[in-house]
Amino acid sequence: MLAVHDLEVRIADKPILKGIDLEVGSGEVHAIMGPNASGKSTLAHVLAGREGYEVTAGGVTFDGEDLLALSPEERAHRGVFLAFQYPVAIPGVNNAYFLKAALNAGRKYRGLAELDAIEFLNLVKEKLKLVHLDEALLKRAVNEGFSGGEKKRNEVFQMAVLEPRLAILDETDSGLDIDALKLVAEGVNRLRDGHRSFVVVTHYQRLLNYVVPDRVHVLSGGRIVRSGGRELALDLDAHGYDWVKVAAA
Amino acid sequence: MNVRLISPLEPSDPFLAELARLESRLPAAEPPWLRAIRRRALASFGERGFPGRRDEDWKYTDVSTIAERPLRVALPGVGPLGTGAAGIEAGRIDTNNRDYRYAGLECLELVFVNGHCVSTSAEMNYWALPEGTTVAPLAAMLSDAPPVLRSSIERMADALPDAFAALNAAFTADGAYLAVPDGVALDVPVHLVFLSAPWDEPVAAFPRVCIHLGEGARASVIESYVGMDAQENLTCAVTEIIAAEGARCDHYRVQREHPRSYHVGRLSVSQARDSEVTSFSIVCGARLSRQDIAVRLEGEGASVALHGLYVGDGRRHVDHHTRIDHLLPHTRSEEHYKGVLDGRSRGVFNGTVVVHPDAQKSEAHQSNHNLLLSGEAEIDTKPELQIHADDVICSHGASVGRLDPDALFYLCSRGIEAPAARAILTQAFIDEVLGRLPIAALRLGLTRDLGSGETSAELFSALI
Repeated sequence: MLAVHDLEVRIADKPILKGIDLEVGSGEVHAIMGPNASGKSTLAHVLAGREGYEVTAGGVTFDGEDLLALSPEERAHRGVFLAFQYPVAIPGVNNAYFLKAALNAGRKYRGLAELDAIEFLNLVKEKLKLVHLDEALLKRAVNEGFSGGEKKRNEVFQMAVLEPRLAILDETDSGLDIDALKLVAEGVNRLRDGHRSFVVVTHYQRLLNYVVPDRVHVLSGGRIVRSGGRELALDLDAHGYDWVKVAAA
Repeated sequence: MNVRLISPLEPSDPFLAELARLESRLPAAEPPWLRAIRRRALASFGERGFPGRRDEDWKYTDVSTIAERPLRVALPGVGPLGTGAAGIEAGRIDTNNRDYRYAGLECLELVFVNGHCVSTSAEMNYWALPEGTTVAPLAAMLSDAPPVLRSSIERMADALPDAFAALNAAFTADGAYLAVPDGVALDVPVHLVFLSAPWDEPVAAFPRVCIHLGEGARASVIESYVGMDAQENLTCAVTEIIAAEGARCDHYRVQREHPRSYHVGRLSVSQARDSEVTSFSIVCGARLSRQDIAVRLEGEGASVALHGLYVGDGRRHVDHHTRIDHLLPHTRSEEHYKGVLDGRSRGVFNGTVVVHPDAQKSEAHQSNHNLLLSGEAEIDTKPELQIHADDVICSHGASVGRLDPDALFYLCSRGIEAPAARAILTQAFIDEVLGRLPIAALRLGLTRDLGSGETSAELFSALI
């Protein structure tokens, strides 16, 4: 489904990713772990189409299509979703209004009829339960005045409504206490259906206790220095990142 | 009275000829005092001429296109439309046009075509207006003007702030007169609709609105200036609000003239003790728009709130000049203006607040925030606080910015097309002003018309 091939990325002439190879198949959950400044978030942003990154080599295909040639909204239409590490507060934009516009943009792309307000509300009320969010959230401005936990749950809620084919979670666990983490993980797990794929970017393996990955990749210095099964995350937890840095050296 | 000696105009002066042409169409009964004022005002205009770029107040606004073309005053009951009323009957003016009617707005309505009243809402004939209340076309009041109206017109003519005010004083023949006696609340808003209509040549309209509220009286007035068709008309309007002790006036001015037309408007407000005035100035029309607002807080405890929104695109020019004078203690003012400028449009905001030495314990707050949607749009914003008292609370802030790229990326990453994402963020910026409009019909109508054309967030939210 997702194929990252020898991807090199710079930010303002500074190399960040130095040749990433990653294959994510349908229904798979891949964890990308790594110390701070290893390039994890850069990889997530480049996949979602954020500006400010220069791809100097390699490429990314999604179902065989050149993902990097697409605008962020085109990527979303094809089923790519990024759960932000820092969801953006947008004062004055009603959360439900925003989400309805997003959902209908995607439906329009797929040739489906747009949902009217009533149909939309019936859908989202169902999805809110998934992440235990209150309906009052719909009337609030996007992420404005949300607690850290609410923001992250709102990301998972949006994911549930938009039903992406590939969800990239960028440090969705950061800043969450254990109860909030469990809520987020539960939401993610209920979206695992054997077809939807996940790339879970995280610094700690804590989230992976709840969202169990098929593969774990360790990113360090802009390269994947080690890949393995779930047990790799446990090793990292036990030995720290210095262990992989030394191993890679 | 200190009246400056002004030399009369040459008889050949084209403005004087224009005045003669206008007067030939006015009722013969027009009183001599009014004719004298017209001549004096015209002479005053002749002395000062149109403002130039060297006038500090007009530094960023070039009115040479207005000055250089012949001035043709729109006359009552003439032109290709026939009388305005006949034009309406013949269906040439669509009075159901939603451009100026707000769905669900219950109001008393007066409709003007090029400055002259052509219809008043049928309800006004049998509407139980509170006793002593007058809501009438100004033309109907002038021949036998109540003393307060006459003195108001005379006082304004004695202190003409600029050339356009002088032209209005010389050429105004109609408009609206609203007088609410002491202790009376007019529950229904008065909607004054000024349509600028096609003529065989560009014409100039000079409406005058006088709003006089007695002690403790209340009224809401909406002035809508609407362009009917491609036309380089000029509208030069003057509104005066006099709020006696404890009176409350909500004033809404919506300027959506045709993009080729010119609009110069002035709102002059005098407030006595404990009076409250709220003004909204929404500007999204005209090739060149200039709005002056001058507020005098003349009584202790008087308070004013000025809200504004200007939207520019193409090569349009939108100028707001406001001035608030705090003359006595415990007066309060707040002013919040926002602008959205696209294309090669240019905005000007100049907000002067003067706290006079006697105005201790006063409070003045001002903000002006601007959103530039293109690299070629410009804004000149200048807050000007002159504080001559030491025990006051004043604040001001101005900003010029662009759409937040992080917010844009967030919306697009969810599948919203970039133009729609920009429209959503722009709408949110605008909604902050429109959201304060207390009249729901006005708020919803303007949100729909000024927004992206999609269902507004508020309309949507109402469904939830």
